[in-house]
Amino acid sequence: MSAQRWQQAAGGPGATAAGAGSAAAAGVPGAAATGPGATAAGAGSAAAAGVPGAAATGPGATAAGAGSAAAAGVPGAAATGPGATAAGAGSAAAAGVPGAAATGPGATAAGDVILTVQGVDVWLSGRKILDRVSFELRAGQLAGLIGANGSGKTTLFRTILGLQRPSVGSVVIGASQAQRRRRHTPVGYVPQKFELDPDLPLRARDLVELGIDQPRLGVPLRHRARRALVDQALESVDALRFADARVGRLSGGEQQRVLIAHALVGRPRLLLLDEPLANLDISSGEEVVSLLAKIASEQSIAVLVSSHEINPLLPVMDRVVYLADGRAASGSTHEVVRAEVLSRLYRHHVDVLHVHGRVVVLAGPGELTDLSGHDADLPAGSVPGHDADLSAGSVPGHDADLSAGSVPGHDADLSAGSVLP
Amino acid sequence: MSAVLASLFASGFFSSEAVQIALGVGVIVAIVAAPVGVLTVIRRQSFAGHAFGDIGTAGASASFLVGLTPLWGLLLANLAGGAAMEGAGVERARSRDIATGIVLGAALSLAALFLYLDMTSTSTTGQTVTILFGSIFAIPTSTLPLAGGLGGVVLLVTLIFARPLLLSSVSPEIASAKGLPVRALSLLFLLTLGLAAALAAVTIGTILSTALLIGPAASALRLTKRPLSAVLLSALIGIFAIVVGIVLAYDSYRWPPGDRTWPVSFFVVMLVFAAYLLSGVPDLVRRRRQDSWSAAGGARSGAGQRSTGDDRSTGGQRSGAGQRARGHEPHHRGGAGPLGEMEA
Ligand SMILES: Nc1ncnc2c1ncn2[C@@H]1O[C@H](COP(=O)(O)OP(=O)(O)OP(=O)(O)O)[C@@H](O)[C@H]1O
Ligand SMILES: [Mg+2]
Repeated sequence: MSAQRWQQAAGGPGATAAGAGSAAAAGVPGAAATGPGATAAGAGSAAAAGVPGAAATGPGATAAGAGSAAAAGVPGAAATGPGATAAGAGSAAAAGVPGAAATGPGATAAGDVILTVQGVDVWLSGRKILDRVSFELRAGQLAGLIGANGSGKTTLFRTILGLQRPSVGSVVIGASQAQRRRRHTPVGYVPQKFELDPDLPLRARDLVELGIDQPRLGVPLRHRARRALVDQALESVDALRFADARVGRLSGGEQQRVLIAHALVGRPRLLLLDEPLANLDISSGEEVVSLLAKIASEQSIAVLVSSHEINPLLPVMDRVVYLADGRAASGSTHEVVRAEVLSRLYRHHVDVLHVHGRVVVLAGPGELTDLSGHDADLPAGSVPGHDADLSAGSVPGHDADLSAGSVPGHDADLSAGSVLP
Repeated sequence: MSAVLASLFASGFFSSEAVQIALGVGVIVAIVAAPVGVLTVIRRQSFAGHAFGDIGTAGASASFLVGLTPLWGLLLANLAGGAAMEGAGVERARSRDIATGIVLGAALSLAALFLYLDMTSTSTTGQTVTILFGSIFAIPTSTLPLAGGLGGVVLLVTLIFARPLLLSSVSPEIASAKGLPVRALSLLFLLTLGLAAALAAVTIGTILSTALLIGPAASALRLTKRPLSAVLLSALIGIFAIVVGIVLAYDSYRWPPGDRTWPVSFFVVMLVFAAYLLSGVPDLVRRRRQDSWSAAGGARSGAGQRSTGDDRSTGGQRSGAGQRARGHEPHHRGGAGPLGEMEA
């Protein structure tokens, strides 16, 4: 199913390999690839490119060419390959590498553990939707929950919220089980789908006001303190200017902000946002993402943001939880977003390219024999529908441009966004 | 002055006990219907409100058979009906409507039997008409305190649970993520709606009870964007319709064919309907003005514009926003929409 999608998305395989090779060759001083899962060929080509200080260790060479993408070309990055698949997901976090904490954009001082998801299995209608998902999230961290459609992101959120019972495993919010029982750790949630009736008799600020945690039941009373709280929450998401508009008549992106404010005004320690970028154009997406990062660090909130696309979150992510068919790999971006880790997660060879600070995850050329037939069916360069767009981003010419470094950032975005989540 | 008053209020209006009870019960019902109606419209449960009319018909006709005050029959039937609707499974709006429809059908078939039995036992259709269309001037004195007590309960419940009810109505998902018992709240609301519908049925009959619940609320929601003002406005519209309806019905004693009052429910519901039509006017005017503005090249001075969400966009975006707003109209705007669309 999804494996087929990647297969098709890969587009012209030969060209991809070429581009990948040059991306790897553009490897950066200090890049290190270690771990049992490291693709020797990929790392090897990075080393072969004569990058000073690059180190490659680990057994298990995979196909050449494609594997060359393995080099984590982020400046100063130390990449570990703990071989994390679903089982190893938890250990991915633990497998610290010397210097890893000090590098990369996601290196913030971590606070208390706010969320612990441990070995969670979820079954729905006789199907295993989540499979041994484990990860941990600390105060002040922003984590991306990355996965394709149907990979289980929303299900994971519902499990964290206690709306869905795991058949195995546990979710702990807050420092201890005891705290959780007393429901003392407020969780903010912005669902993926929300429909606000245009005629709702609610202004944006009224909806935010409903988010104020109040122990007593009762009608909303208009206290000055409440109003200040609401204004503050609206301001923090830059939504004050439409505070008095009917919330149902705001645009999707504006409603999103209002809902984030609604979640924030309850002073959560954990904030869950399900696909907040789906409704937003690129620049609003960037705004919201940096806003979330600011909220995480300033208010010391653990933020978990799901997205089917990793790149928008890349600049701000401290952690990443990568989901594929219900299995998860988690850790810092550098630990997880690597060819060998993701290949194990997808159970299919994938390449990870780093292009101008962005990541492209490509399905490798026909590693799975049962899918290679599909490739053969498709005439080169004429992949239908959506996939045509995808392959367009990764056709030979483009890749050549990229490696030549002559393509403006946005073109890279397009190709980056489209291949694999 | 006194001539005007005399022509407005037929003689005996203020001294009649029946009128006093009618006014008392009517005002109670209008007040109670306001918060319940607003929540019903927000939750899009008008259909459930309508179902309570039919369920109430079964209850009221049964209570005639056993010699109980109709209000008791209405109450018991609506509470049982509410529980049945909720019990039949209401995870989604769609299956909720199906459950409602099925319970409604069962209730109507019972009503058919009971009304038939009522008719054969009294050999008149008087009770059937009373049940279906109400007879506000024939409300027993004992009903007033009962209506007051029940109204108080309904108001108290909606007041206490206003925030959780509102939030779970706006987004059940967010509410349940907050730990609110969405399912229990839904049942609680349905029972509240059943009570309010029973009260409304006493005044204007089971068939039209929905109109009194939904109409004022729907009108108010077109006029204000604040929840509390919506409730207050809805109460005002409801009180206005009831009181004026009662006055007119009392006057109609002098109108042809004479010696009988016209049904109060006719006046009340027509007034509610008129209020609903009128409540669409401000929006219509606003949109018409916007249309003519965007036709004039999107020039915008900002003067005279209300600062609603729709008015924020500038210049060229305006017409787009206007079109988007119109796109919603057929669903949410009832009669006002088509006019705006034809103009475009
Ligand atoms: N109530 C349910 N019963 C059965 N299967 C379900 C149910 N809810 C979700 N699923 C299945 O679980 C899988 C994961 O769904 P989920 O909504 O978690 O995916 P997602 O990652 O959020 O996808 P998207 O990016 O499209 O939002 C899907 O294959 C879906 O069909
Ligand atoms: Mg989802």
